[in-house]
Amino acid sequence: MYNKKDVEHWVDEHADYLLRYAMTQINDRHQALDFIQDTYVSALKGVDNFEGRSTPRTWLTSILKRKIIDYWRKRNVRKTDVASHFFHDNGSDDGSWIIENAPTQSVASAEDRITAEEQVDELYRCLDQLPPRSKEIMNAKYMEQKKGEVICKEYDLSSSNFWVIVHRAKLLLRDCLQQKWF
Amino acid sequence: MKKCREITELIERGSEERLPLRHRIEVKVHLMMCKLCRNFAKDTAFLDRLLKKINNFQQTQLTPSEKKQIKRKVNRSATD
Repeated sequence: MYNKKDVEHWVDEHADYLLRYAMTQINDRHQALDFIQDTYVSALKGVDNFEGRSTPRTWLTSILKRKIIDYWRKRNVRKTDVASHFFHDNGSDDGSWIIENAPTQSVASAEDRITAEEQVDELYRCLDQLPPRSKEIMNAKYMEQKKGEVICKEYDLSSSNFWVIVHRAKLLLRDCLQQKWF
Repeated sequence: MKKCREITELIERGSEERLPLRHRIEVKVHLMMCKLCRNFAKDTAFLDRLLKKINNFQQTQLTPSEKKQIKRKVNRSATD
């Protein structure tokens, strides 16, 4: 129905519209342009599966919307408390798991089907994604095998702060492995 | 009653310290009812083991820069 040549035309026809749309969602022209570019790249890849049930403009906008949602989700995770990515923080569900990010699978149960080397490799990669400070603290706890009290003194942390950091690092590591292994 | 957020914090803490009896019971009862927290408990113990393995890996394997340094030395001694 449509092909890659069409996508090229759609730049002329719809890019301005998409930019206006993106600008209403994020107030950063540079970032918005990046999204428009990504949107067309995705469109090029997906055009063969686009059946024309909606107009090209609607289809392109839906791709763009997904990119913007992802962007905000990632930003929010980084900006706000890590714990609020994993647990509800108000209402009647307060403190219970947010199901999309919960341990619905046990990564320990994958232990047998993944080689020891791969496990360590993946864990390294996941460790790299931790915020710098919690990486340092995890390093002190596990690599240097220091006790909590010692680390608290070195990093000038209260005991409860220390455990909050370890707790969050574990949530992030676990979730990172779950995404890789399931 | 404590919710998953606090329970998982207690589980984490309990891996290094002995928790007060009240907390140990709270954790136990909660785990009986909550599959997600059971998975977390299993996985955090698994991560502890895995993180310790990394420690051994680091001690028994050369880092890239250590290897480079050795190669440099070997090369230098070859041209001497």
